[in-house]
Amino acid sequence: MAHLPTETFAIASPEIAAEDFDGEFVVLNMETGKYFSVAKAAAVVWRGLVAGLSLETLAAALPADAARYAEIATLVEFLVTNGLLIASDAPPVTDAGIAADLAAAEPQFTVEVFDDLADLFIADPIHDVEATAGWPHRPGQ
Amino acid sequence: MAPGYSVVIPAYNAEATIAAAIRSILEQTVPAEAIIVVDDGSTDGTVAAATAAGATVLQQANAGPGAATTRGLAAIQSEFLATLDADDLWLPHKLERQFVALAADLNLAGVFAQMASFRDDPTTADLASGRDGWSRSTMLIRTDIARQTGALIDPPSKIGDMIDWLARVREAGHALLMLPEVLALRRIRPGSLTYQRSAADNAGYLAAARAALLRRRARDSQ
Repeated sequence: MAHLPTETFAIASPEIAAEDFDGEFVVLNMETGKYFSVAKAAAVVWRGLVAGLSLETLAAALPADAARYAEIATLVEFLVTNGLLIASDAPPVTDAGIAADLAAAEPQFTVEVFDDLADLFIADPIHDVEATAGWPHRPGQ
Repeated sequence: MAPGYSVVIPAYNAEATIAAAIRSILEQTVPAEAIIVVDDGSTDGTVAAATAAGATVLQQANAGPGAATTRGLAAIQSEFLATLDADDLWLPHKLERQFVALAADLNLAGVFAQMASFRDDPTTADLASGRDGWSRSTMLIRTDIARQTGALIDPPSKIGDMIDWLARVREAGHALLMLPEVLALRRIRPGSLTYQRSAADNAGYLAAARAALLRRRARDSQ
């Protein structure tokens, strides 16, 4: 069985943005311009890790299956290797609902990575503006 | 002789910068056939400033830079569309250089260029510090292909419309060229030295990424 330390994780940097679209996380690394689809059981793991659950807690919430323990470790390693998450010193939080969420999700730890927009993301002109000036001023917000 | 082009500038509360932007068009070595400012519901003197500077002004209720650009695209009659953000500037030979590149490769749908930034005085911009500008302020594109691509979609944050739209241009198989030369200048507003992307900005990028994912899945399922 893969070794799963009592570890917590956090979003690696301000260059990482993520949003939940109907249960699928789209995660963008603005440094590299790559974006990721984190879906199915992997989406529950992402949400749990970002909320401060430990890897151990998430693994324990999975149905007992040694192969899936290895999968979750591989998933987290991928997220760390791609600069999306870093290990955190924060004490783990608990979430009694996570086991139910994992049981309800499709079981695959699905992660895809895309670089077709990388040059566009890296180059996109974000104008440095004051809050009261023109774009990206947001009327009514 | 270079083909004709019209310029579309979406503008929202840009009275302080719009005249300089228009002036940089009027100073082009290849003159524009039309300069259209689409005023996106400004509450300042943008309309008066743009009119005085020599642009044709269209007005709409505030909808975002993408929607304003789409409105301008529908109004032009030239073979080529060039776009410019209301706070940026072109160098005088921008269009000349881009048309040379287009003439050298008839398969190109559009040509972009690098941008350098400046704070107050554009003559201080460091042209050696240019970065690729896949940007509204560098774009020169065939009008028919721009129209085939459809509307520019503004995400709720109003940031990221060009990423989504250019992704759609490329997915349709059209070739876009990045010239390795600074031909436009990006204005950095004073007082924002420590600017960081906001969550709202990120939301626009994420929306563009999500849209690309959904288009990919639609293609893969065909």
